[in-house]
Amino acid sequence: MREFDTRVVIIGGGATGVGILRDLSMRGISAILLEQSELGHGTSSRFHGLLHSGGRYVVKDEDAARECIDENEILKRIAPTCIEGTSGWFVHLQDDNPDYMKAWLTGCSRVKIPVKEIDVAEALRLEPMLSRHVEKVYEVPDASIDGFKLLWANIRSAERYNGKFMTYCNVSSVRVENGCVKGVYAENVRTGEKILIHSEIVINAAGPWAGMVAASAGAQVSIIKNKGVLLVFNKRLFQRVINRLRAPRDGDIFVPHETITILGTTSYTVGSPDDNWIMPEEVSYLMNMGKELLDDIEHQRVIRAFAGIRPLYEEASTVVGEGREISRDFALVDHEKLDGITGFISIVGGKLTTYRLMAEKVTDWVCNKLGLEVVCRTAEESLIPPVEEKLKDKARTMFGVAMADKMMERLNDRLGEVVKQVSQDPAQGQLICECEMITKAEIKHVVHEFNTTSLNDVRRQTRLGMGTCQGAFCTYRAIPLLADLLEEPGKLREEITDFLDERWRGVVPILWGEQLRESELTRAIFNTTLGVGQREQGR
Amino acid sequence: MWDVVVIGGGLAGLLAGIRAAQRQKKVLLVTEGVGTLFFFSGIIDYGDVEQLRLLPGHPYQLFDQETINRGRKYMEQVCPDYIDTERSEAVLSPLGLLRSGDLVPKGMKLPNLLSVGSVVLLVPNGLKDFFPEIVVPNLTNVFKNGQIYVENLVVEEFQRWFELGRPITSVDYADYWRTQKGHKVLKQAIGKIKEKFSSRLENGEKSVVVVMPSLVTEYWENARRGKWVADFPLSVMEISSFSPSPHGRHLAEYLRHIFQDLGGEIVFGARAVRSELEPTENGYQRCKQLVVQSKGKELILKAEKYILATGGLLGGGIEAINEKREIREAVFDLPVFIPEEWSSPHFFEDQPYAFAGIMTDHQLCPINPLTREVVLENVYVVGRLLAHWDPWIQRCGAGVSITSGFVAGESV
Repeated sequence: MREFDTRVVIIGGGATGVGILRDLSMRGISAILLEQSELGHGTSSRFHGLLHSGGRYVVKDEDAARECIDENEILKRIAPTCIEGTSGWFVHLQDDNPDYMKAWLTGCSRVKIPVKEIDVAEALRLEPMLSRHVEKVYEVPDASIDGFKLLWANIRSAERYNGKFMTYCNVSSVRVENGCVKGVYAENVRTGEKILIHSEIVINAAGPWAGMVAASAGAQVSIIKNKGVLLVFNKRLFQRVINRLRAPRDGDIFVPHETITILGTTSYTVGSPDDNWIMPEEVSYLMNMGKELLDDIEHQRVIRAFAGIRPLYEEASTVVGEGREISRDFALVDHEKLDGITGFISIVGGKLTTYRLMAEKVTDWVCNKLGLEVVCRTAEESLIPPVEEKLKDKARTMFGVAMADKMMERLNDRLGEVVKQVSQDPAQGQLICECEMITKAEIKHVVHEFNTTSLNDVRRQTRLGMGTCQGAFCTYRAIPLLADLLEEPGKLREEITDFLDERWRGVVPILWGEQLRESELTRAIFNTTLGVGQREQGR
Repeated sequence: MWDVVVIGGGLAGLLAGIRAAQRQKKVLLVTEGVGTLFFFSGIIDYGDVEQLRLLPGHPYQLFDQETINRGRKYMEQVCPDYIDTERSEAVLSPLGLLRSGDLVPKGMKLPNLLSVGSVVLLVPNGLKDFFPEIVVPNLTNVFKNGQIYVENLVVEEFQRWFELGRPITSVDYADYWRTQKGHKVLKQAIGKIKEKFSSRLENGEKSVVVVMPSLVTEYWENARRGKWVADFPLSVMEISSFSPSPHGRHLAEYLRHIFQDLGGEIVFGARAVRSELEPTENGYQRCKQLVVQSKGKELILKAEKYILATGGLLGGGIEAINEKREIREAVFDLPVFIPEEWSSPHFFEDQPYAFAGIMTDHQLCPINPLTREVVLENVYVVGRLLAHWDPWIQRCGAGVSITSGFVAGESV
């Protein structure tokens, strides 16, 4: 059994976990983060990618709205390359409740969310696909945010302050002696190696899995696992985030990201954190809901559907109702008070927009517990180290502006490495993924840096396979890299199958129109041209 | 007024047009492009015909075995460069793996594997989507008694592209091999290999084979002119295509020439958008005329008979128009067979939606899937558009297209 010493263990590599790791590391407190799979495989990458202005919560929960607008401003400052300042519109349609609109405007002014009315004719000129039933349009500082990029930025920032993390490391149990936390037992799920980490404090930031982690320490946290289904369209249907100006319901947000748009979401309570399969009815339902804001939705190409599990905190006193009734606000559960276990807390609920604030609160608690007085600096210090203008220009000359800028957003300070590789060997500049414009050099760099062993991990770090072709060409092009990664060459077919299955899973619910056509091409390539389908497996 | 209008210029449409034109019919072919030949590996698969004929509704059931064989022979006759193989492990995939194939270009057929002593993989520099590092170990498994060597072929014309990081596709290279200069470069490169290995050959070593991706023009042109042996003293064989496919482009060009040589006429960039029907004497319906959009104009085309070869879900002959899985056939609005189950959760498993398509009688006239009555008397459906099969998993894409195209060309 391998043993490590640290002051704090964080369980869960989502936005909250990496945020805590960064904050602790910046305050000089040694910490190790454990993640059961790859960073951000859970809710942090399975949402609409909306950086809330608070507008959505302002009527029901002013405190949450206030937190949102504050964090919105902070994140735009500290993580500019993860965010696109699209702004957002709240759109009041014919027959929508005018009382809600009044309450919303009052709320926004109380919470100090800047609101600007947009003339309807102007709105339709700026967003021509918007429903003709629009009657009022208000602009707020919503934005779109890339959950993956935010996560990598946090983890790299934490690393610069000596923060440590281990992926594919599953916590078997929290070690508790005489009512005090002593660390965690874990296992590397790939190698089977057993790990013991000694620590004074354990933080449970496992999102939808938080209930299971708490139970392993003999404590209790009730999490309602609430599934939200989202659809990805192949282009920017809107240039801004479009919200429906009514009490938040299903299918009333469109969020543009780079070249695509996400429509979300639904709200449905499920039994398990892994229960994120999507039914065709859910897709139909979302399309119908989306149609109210976008009349022509049927003629738009959907490239994928996915679902995330919101971990909603359920206090013992809360009456269980439909998902949206429960506050999305977060809670810090001190298990000393609730279960008599000292040094163990769970951070539950919340939303991505407020991940930094949650991390700050948790780290404040840790400092208090350890008797340290260090102030939080995560709101001031940029997450992203600056990139030299000269280097940026070099990249733009090499790859063209559009491609270089996309690369920079992904790579930030690591851009130099990739540029160097390609100038030494032009062949490294060939595109592996043409949809997302990812070069061979970039993938090699990521693989090397993260010691990555699967194509799905490469995907999460680079967006490989996440564009319109959904793996048809990039999977083939990644084969040489994959062959390098895998220790056993026999696993190549298995790995390709895993990757294509994962992509397929998001395509199955939306198999019609152009994406069905694309899927037929993918099947033709892999079954016939390359002959790597199951029928050949005897060979 | 035409005898026959063929809609769609993929494999099935072209072959149907050729057969009809050869039978002295006045044939017009309207097509938007080359259909899915753009993605063609270069290998003609028939699949396990006997087994496939047992599957309910499979297009092979529409024909007897003898007709299927006649279609195959016809294809060989039309394309003498395509030759019959013994099916198993006949050709190389783009990854250098052994793959079966029924009719393959001469240049693609593998020699007796055990007799090969040295294999030289000749790689055009910077060729896109070709991975020597994967192909070489796979070739080592294929040529069990052979030693594998790699030669990089640097072509001056593409050096600038390469330095700029611009991808050079196999179609780009195939174009270059077509030019006199390209031809010379290739000849020299192979000559050098011959020189290098001549001492070994003289020492009685086993044969030397040069393996190359995208050699398409060479085998077509040289096979025709009979210059093959003189120019290429070593046996040179090629790997099947990835997309964009030089083999597919060649086959399309070749078949078009044959069709035009037989007096067939072609309108390119033309999309059939709708049709007008009229009742027949015996109470059925027939197509009176066809409306085709070309260069922003609408053309009205009239023919005795129409061959519909617009492809399936990939080619665009049918389209699943919404999430309710309604499927539409655009030209004649034919009733489509739609399977109840739609998809399987695993990518490589059978996907039921692939069986969607148009059902026909034995003459290939479209029928209503429920009543089984003929819908249009003078329309013949061929190729991927037919229902109840999956070309990718059953590996019979070209086989069904050739058979149905041939049969339609015979019966119109």
